[in-house]
Amino acid sequence: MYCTKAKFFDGVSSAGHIVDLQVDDRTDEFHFQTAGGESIVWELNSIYYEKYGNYLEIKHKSDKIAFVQVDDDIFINNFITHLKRKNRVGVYDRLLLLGIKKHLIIGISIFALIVGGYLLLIPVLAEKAVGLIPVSFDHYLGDSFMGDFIDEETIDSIRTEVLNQFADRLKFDSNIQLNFILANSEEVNAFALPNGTIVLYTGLLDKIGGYEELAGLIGHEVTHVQERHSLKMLCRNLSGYIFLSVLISDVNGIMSVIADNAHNLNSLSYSRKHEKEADLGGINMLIKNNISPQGMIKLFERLKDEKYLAPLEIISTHPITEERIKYIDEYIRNTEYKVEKDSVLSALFDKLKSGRNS
Amino acid sequence: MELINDTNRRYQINFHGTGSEYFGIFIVNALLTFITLGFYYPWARAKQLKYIYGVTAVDDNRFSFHGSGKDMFFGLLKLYLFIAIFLLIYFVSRFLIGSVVLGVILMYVGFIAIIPFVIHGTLRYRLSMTTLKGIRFGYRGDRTRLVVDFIKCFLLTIVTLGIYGSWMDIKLRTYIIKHIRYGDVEGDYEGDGMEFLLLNIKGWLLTLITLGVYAFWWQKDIYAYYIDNTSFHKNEQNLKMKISITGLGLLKLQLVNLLIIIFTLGIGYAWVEIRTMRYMTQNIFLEGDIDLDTVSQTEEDYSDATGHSAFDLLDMDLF
Repeated sequence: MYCTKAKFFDGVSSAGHIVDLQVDDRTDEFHFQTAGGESIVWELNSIYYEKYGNYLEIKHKSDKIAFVQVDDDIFINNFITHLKRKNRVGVYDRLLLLGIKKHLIIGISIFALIVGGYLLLIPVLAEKAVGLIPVSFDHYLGDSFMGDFIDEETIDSIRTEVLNQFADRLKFDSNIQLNFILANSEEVNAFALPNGTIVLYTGLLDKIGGYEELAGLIGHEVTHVQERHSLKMLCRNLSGYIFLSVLISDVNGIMSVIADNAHNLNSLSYSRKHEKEADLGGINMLIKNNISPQGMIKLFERLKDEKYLAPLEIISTHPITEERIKYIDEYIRNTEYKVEKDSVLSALFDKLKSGRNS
Repeated sequence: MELINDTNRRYQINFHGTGSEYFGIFIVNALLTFITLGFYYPWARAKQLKYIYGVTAVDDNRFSFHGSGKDMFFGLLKLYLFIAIFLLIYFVSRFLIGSVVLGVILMYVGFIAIIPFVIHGTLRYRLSMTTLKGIRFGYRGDRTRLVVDFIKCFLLTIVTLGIYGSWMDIKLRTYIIKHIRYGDVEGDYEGDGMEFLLLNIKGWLLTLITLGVYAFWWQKDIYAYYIDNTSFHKNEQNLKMKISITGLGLLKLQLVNLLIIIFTLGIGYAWVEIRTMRYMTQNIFLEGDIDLDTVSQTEEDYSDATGHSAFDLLDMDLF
């Protein structure tokens, strides 16, 4: 049994009345008498309460408006102990009762999980999600932005024909429709659009010293298309923004990010992982075609000194060229392959190289 | 309550919240919302509001918020439905009709048109779910009237390049407060658009001249214009609201708030909110001859929470 002086508000008039609140902790009953002399009994199972510091408000579930208010610390402590003993403290209140130190720890943990999710989990899930997007979207994306990347006037149509003949002789793992373009530009670069269009700049072609190297480069770019790297990066970037926007419940933000990203397709750069995938994919293609995989190494040796940086480029800063040469070399040493000189490819390559002055 | 003479009374607003309690609520809410992938949000919001109301008092009589997470959950669902409709309108006009501009205009018109519905819904739900000394608050305004007035005022504000905005604010505020009830006590507001405009022009000019410093005094003037012109009536009796904040007080409050946020890397946000509420509420009092012990219950229960959740999402601050 515990008791206190409390104030009762009947929900009809705003005047509160002092009452003697008595709690029988064996029968779980709350007793008090209203100003009108009515005897009221509330059972523990039919009440709910709000507690803020040393203030307690007890209400009956059937009414919700009328309440008894208590500010007696001893009574409040007895009341909470009573509730705990009867297992009537909900999950929410149990968590609140943990105290500030544990709250701080929980807060920091949630923060760490969110940051971890953003950095580690989201990119992986986003790449997996690419599998759900139909391939036709890759074509749509590539077709829509083709004009932004290639200036029709710079295309060397005669040598583009030769480049396509060269690529046609190579056997690839998938039957994606590929289309090669040779464009006149000083830039030492090549890139692949998601619709299977692969653009090689004359600036890069000039640096290439043998058909094995060109085949390696083509294998690299084709792997980007096959593995849908552009789309994976797009999903990755988008999902990160969406994740953050949802966290701060910024619906407008998501819309503008979708719009921004569609236009910034050209500034997407592949991740280190994608570059490595493309390098190794390229080597496998060389081996499948009985071309020396050393061509890939030679290509990178030649490009090692190039400082030029551009989006979607083969010699991107990461992985650092030295490192790429190292893992390619290691891969080749652990793989069996045979090399057969391909005179047709060689001839086509010579034709491509000589075309510049013709 | 303080009896100034036989009939005149003075009621002080008190605030009993503490940063550590409020922080606990933030954390428990964050944890449960996180675990449930966001589904707990409406319940979390209800807990947060219950706390704020429960620690605010008039002469040590606490407010009580009876809203439930369930009501707010359905309110939020309805709101998402509205947003989905707006997005649909946008995409239809963009991809089927082919006009981005039309889509954007329709979407903005939709968002603006929804605001008065949100204000109305929020007021009805929140006030009917609020009690003080066992007596319900209520909002008796007419939705159609508010929507029509809002749209009229909004168009006039655009036509007058924003100048009418002062009248819009006062007009809507007057309509809303006049329809607020606390049992048999009625709210009232007496403001003037011209006076409010001049106050804002003065505030804006002085803020420019003082390189921003006057902004706190301007803010104080706005709050004072809102609060000091609000009063409550019951038959022939009345209570006037008064606010005693100062520009310097606001400056100190916000400066310290900024320092807390910076030095605790945001963790101190709960304390910042509590400090702000304490400063604002403890500087508000009521003076007049209504005896708050003699108010009787008049308002009904009301539980449509559409406007309520929308209030959170659109983040508009009315009072």
